[in-house]
Amino acid sequence: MLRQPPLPHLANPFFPMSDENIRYSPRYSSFWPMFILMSGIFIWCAYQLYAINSQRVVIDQQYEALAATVEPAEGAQKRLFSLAQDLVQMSAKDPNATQIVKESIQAGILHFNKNSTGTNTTTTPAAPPAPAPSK
Amino acid sequence: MSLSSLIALLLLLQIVFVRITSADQVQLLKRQQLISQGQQSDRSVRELAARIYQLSQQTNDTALKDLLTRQQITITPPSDASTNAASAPATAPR
Repeated sequence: MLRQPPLPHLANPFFPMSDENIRYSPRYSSFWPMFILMSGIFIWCAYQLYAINSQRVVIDQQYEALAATVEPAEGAQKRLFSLAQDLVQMSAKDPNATQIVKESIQAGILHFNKNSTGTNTTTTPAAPPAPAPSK
Repeated sequence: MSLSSLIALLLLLQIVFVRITSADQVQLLKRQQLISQGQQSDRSVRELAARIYQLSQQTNDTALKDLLTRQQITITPPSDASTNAASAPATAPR
């Protein structure tokens, strides 16, 4: 009985490669490295988006939470402006009012805005300069 | 849709969200500033009203009393006779 000898490259793993063996060797593909890289970028982008959205939600919540205090704040500003305006107008005739205006300017309660256009702003109301005492 | 298209879409979304968040943050800061100024104004009104009341009581100046009335500011004198500025009469602007 004749026995067929085994193929040389199967019998010996260190069998030198011939052209035929090279033809059947696995070819290098960049699919998996690229897939892993792109997956990483995708996960990073998704996480960034999630973090930014969470931040936006927190900011929106804080903004809404402050909504109730905006109206009283605006009212306080208007009240101060009205009181200061009345006081300054009165200080032209009343020396006591003049004294209060002077003290308030010194204490920093009232501010003289040189570039005042006479319109209401959201900034701290500015009072015109105190006139000289009428004494 | 390939993975690279998805990434491009996510990046675009990220840019849009960053811009929206920045705008929201500016609005929040503006509102916080407005409230802070309002609180400061409220303190100023109280100090000013207390001083006007104090001086009107000392000098019996009816014009100053009228000013407080015009501004709808009512002062509740403290129960004790303390004249400390810190415990100045509480103002209750309406």
